[in-house]
Amino acid sequence: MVKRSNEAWLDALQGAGQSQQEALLDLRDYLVRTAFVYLRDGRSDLLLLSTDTLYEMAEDYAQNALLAIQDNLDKFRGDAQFTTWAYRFAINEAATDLRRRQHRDFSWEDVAGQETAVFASLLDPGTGGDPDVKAEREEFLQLLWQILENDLNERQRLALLGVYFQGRSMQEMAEILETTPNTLYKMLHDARKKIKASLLNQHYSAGDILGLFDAMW
Amino acid sequence: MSGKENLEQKIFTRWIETLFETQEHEIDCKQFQNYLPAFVEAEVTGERLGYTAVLTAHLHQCPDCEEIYQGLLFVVKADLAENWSSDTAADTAVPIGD
Repeated sequence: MVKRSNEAWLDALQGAGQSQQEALLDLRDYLVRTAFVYLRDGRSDLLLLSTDTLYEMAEDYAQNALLAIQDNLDKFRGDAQFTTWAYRFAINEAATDLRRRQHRDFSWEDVAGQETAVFASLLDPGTGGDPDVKAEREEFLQLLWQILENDLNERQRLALLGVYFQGRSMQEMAEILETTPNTLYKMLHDARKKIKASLLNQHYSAGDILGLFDAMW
Repeated sequence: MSGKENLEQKIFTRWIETLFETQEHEIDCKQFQNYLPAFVEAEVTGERLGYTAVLTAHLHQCPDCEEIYQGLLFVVKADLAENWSSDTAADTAVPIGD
């Protein structure tokens, strides 16, 4: 593979003729290697796949990345190596596809069930302990329920539960909510700000809250 | 403590930490991705960029961007270690296709 300066990459890829073709072939080689090394060595969840399978996947991701890069050449900022910028497209392609393969069925009942399980575990009915602390925990959880119910709209609450309680990816949750990951991030940011403000307003810090439950764990 | 309770503890603890790490102004995923290549290169060289704190704040809140960041960091380090642009590195890591 040929080493080029950022300017040389851009000149060749935005140009025409043989130099452009050579640059495209070289870039494709870089991207296949990027995707392959990521899949083979950077993903512990793919250990059972054969080298041939990983290589075929890497070729597909590289091809898609190459097309995306050609469409976005004018957005290269020049604040990093061109190859680093290009590798990001290959990693994005791979990670996005692998996330999609892991999508689970979604239902409101599942989300509500997970939420209930987490909160129920925090009530700790089975063990003894200081009754005052138990009362404080219950008071806090009641406040938290109120904040979730009153301060967030249904989509915010759903997004928050899906991402933080069920461990779904932003991409998966965005598809469930029929929005984009970027919009979902803003929705979650707004939700986090509201909950944080309400908790601070009631004089709770993260340390106070985690301290309340420390003895249980 | 059972594994299930341990998982629920982790979920709750992480969630509370995430809530309190929330900043009034945070960059979104698109903005993060724009700065990501330079951020990763700085991470590799030990340089601290002026906007590192803003990017780190986003990373803590976004599992998808965290995944891309970790992946890109991994391959940039591999590139540096194996010098992918050199002829000798060309056939060592990737099987011959077709």
